[in-house]
Amino acid sequence: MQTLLIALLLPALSIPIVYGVGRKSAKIAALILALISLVSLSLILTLVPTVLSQDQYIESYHWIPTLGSSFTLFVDGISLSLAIVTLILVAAATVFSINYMEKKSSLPQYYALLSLLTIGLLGVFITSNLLLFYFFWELMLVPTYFIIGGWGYRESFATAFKFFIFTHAGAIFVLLGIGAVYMLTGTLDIFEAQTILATVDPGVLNWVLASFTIGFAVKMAIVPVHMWLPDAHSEAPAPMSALLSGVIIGAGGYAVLRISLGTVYSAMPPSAGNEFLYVLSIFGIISAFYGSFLALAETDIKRIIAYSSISHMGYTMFALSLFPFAQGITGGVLHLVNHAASKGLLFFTAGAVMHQTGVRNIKEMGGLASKMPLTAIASVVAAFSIGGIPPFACFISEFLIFVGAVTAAGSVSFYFLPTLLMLIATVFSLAYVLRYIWKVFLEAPTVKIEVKDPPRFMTISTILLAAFVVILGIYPRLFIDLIHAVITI
Amino acid sequence: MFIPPEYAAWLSWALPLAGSLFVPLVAKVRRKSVGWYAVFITLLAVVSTVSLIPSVINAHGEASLYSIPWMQAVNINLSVLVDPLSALMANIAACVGLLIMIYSVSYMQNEQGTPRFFFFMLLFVGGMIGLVMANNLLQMFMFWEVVGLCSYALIGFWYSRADAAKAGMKAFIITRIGDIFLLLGILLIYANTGTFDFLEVKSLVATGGTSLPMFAVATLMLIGAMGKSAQVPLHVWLPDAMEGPTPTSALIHAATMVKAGIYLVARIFILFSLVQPWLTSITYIGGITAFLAATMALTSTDMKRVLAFSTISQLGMIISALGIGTELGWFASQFHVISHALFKSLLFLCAGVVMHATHTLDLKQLGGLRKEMPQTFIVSIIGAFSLAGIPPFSGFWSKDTIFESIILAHNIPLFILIFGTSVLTLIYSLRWISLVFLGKKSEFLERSHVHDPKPVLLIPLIILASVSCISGFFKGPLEHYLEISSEASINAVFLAGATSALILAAGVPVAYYFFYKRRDLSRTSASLLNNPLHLLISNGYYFDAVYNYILKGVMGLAQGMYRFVEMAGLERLPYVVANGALSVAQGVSHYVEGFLDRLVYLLAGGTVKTAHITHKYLEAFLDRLVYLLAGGTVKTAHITHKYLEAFLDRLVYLLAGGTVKTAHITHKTIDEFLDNLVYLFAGKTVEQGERIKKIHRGHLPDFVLAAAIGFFIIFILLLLTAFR
Amino acid sequence: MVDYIILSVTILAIGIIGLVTKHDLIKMLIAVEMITAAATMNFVIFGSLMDDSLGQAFSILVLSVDACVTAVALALAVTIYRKLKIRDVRDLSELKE
Repeated sequence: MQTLLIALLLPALSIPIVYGVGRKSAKIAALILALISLVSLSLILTLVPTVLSQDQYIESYHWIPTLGSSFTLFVDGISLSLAIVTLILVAAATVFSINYMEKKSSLPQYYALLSLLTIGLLGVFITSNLLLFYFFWELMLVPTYFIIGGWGYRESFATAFKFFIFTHAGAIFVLLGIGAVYMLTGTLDIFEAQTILATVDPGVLNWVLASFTIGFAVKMAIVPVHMWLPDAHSEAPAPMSALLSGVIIGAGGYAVLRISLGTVYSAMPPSAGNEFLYVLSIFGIISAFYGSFLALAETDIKRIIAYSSISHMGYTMFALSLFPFAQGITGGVLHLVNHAASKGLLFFTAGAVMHQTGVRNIKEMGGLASKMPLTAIASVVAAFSIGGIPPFACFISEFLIFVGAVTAAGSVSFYFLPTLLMLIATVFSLAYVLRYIWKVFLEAPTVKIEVKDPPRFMTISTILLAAFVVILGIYPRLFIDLIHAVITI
Repeated sequence: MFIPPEYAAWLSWALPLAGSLFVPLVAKVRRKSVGWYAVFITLLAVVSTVSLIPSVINAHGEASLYSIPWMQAVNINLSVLVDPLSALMANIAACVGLLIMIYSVSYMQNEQGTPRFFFFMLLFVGGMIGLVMANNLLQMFMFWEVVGLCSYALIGFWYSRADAAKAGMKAFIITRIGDIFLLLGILLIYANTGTFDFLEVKSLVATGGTSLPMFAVATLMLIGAMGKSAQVPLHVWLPDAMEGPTPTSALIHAATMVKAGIYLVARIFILFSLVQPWLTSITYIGGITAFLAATMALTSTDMKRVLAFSTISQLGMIISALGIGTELGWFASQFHVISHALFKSLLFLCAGVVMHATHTLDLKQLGGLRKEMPQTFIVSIIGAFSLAGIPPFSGFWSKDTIFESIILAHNIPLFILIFGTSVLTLIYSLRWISLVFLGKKSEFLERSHVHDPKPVLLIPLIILASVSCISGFFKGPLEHYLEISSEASINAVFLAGATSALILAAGVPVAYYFFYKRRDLSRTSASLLNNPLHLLISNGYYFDAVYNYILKGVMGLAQGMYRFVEMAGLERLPYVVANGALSVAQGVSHYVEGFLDRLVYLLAGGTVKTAHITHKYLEAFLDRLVYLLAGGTVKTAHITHKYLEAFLDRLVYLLAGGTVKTAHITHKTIDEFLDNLVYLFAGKTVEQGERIKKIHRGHLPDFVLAAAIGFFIIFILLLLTAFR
Repeated sequence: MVDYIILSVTILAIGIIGLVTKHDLIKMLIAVEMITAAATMNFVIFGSLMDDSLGQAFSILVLSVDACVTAVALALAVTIYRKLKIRDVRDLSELKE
């Protein structure tokens, strides 16, 4: 059953349909796209039992044998979790766009570009062939450039251009790595490469590892290669920001886990590459603190959230540096899932606030809690999730990360100080979250604003996503089971 | 009426939690009923917690455990522990919570946002009961944070007031700082024992099967408790928390949430009771907190803040009793927890009643209310006397037990601290009563008419006061319930009694002298107010100042990082790189082009010169050659020309005539045919061209999409053809 | 063999410099073509270096794609010139508000 192929192709087929229908009615086009992503989602969900019992699910098609690559689509627990949350976010973002983008022009192209983006987003997680992976990796860039440029805010094309060049430059490093892997192993399949790379000299592997990780770190917006993120996330339209902050940088984290750590690092003899992990954790901590501090200082509503994303990618990087301790990696992947949902929700609500009030600077906002109650509630749910408060999503993942960190610190004494520093970082996370809620919703406003709750579709998608975040916080069993099926240590 | 314990253990906290979710629904249906709905849910919680008592008594101190799977993959289950301590705390939370809920229905009825209030109050009750009944440390931590969240939301209930919102944020941040220490402690326990389950940890520690760093873990969890229970130096959030509504202050900041830290220490007591340094630090932290907070209560002029400082002080006393390390000390602390929950919430509710009647919290403006609010006066007296430790009220008995345990442990420094605290407690409680109720009415109140509160507000007060009167006499049954076996020696009892008498003897005259005579605070001499000691105390020993300084530092650091690192440095970096690359390219281009230009000119110039030279010299020679040849050729040409010409002319004319005629005929027919053909093709092409032209409209993204479509069609075709 | 690589790199460099420096649309297109040519040349060079005809196969593929790209780009350039009478890229971007 070509489930994965169909799930991948459905958004592709929908591009002309959405474009054509969009010329008549943008709303129906959006609903079609949302429906298609939900259909893809249900297709992927049918694979859950298989993945839980057999640990993996592979579909392989004949492609370019001379390059040693076959068109292989595969999922295991980690890929599946991330694919699920991606499709949920895409559906939510599409529904959200119905009202958010109402007054903008050229909407058929917007939805068609979203469909194109979905293919890229989904494809990154479900392929095990490095060439395909790179294809989808770059495929995410083009629609993003156009959406940010065409429907974004200030100086949108300049920002989109900066984003494109920056991430593309990072992708060059990834391409270097892929080329190196092909040269060393003659194959582009992740699993085959892993076994063959075990015979390669670790010194060479270190360079390959560095090259891959630099490329993925640019995508993850780790300090100091994070410069593209604040502008791109804040100048993009809100649904795009949600996808950017939730899924695209999550793809970076996933890639670090799957390719850098899972393929190259695992092929190295044990304890040969420990300095690499230490470096990862140091950069993770720097990003976590840096993002929190700058979020404390910012006054633009979307830039605060953007810096918060940098901070959380720091948490994820720290979690990934705990490889191969099971709890840490589980926490890291779960954090990618939870962060995608929470950060998406936060961007939705920030977009709703901007849409209703027309204001971006938090100094001009205030008192919105009584005027936009539903949005306020959803925003508080999202914000507290980001701040790591139970019973919301990110608390569980952060907790698991810390469990992994302490377990790791037990065996490897290096992790002791980083764990302490990360715990301190959570206080700063809470600080900027509280500041955000206070300034946007609670403080008495300086300027009189007449607003009400946003229109129907925006509210529906926001509330549903908020419910998802709460459920993830209380009963994350599906995702934990999926992830744990992969990690066997 | 009683629910079987297996269900009661879960329902007691699940009901309020689930019930809170329905508050908005109830509010939509009939807003006025929200309060009574909350009361109803809390009543169900009370029924559940009371149902636990028989099973606990029957189990004789054995803990019962119920668990359901939660996150099996990481080996964490939801589990509930029912033993005397947890049942006790759950009952306190539920019963006091019920009384306060009933009180809130009327107290909050004219407020905006009552659904939000009751949502968080119900969530809090559920969270608190869940906290005390949790067996799984992760679960406990989750509820720990949830009650912190409710505290934040309720302190900042009137969020449009900046002070209230900031107080809420301050509470949340400070308790969070304590919480990360607690989290680290929990994680260390997990790292060393592999489980979050409290009972399993207990048995592992008892059998010595683990290498847990005892002092480190114990201290970490203590710091978490200190944050929640407002011990020095993490106490600064509690006085500001008085910005919240009075029922919140009563429930969260007097009776229950601040007891969570105490509960935690009491629970882990059994694990770490042999770690002497830990016990000593608890003792001194508690003692010093108690004393300092009592001094701060003495100088405060806000009705609720006095009670807040009093709470901090009493919590310090309770925790120091735990630190004594004996079973009697443990018992004394729990006994005082009950008494304190009762009389402190009573006092807060009275303060709320007074505030409703007089619209002020300022002690300087209150006074003389006893004549017009006699019932309030009586219940407040009961509460205050209980706080002061005057017999026969409950506070006297529990404080007495604390003294017994201190004396038995021969801990002189602690004795001095607690003795001093008790004297001060007596003084400030009497001060509170006299400033609010005794003397003459101040000018502020002259004009307003105050009266006793409505029954629905008064009844919870009366119930609390009555229980406070008699609960002291239930010491024996409580000992039996908590399975305490040690008894104080007669000496200790006698000495404790003597101590209490001494306190009364010391305190009452002082209080009488200063306050019964109703020394008007506003006429206190300036020198007294500017007394350095007074300044020190009334500024909270400058703890707040230090914390504000740290906060400003952090925000300043954030701003600085933003301005100097991000904007000046990192943001500029890509542009620097890009501009650099551009200048390099331009420079290279400029230089190379200049070079190429000169090369071209050089080559061109040389070529032109050689051309000129060759031109000159060859030309002359070639000219003469040409003329020579030309001359001869011309002559022969003329001769042949003459003779051939005539012949050829006639031949040509003959052929030409015929050819021209055929050409004309073919030209006509072919021409027409070709023309028609061309017009046909051209016309069709133009048509199609026009049609195609109509479709495209020059939007670039259209083309991108068309390209994408084309690509995918090819892609799919390739895929289909690749299936072999 | 190194000579050919140097040739391809040189053409690439000239193309890049031209793309970055020049402002005339057609000149920029020529520069892009040079970059593509250099890349295609690389395929062939390395293909022959490793005795694999895959390089030549790929170069044919690239050429056909490149032809389409050039066609579209030229059409755009011509249309811009006809409609807006603009040849300079700098004037083009100032048209956006």
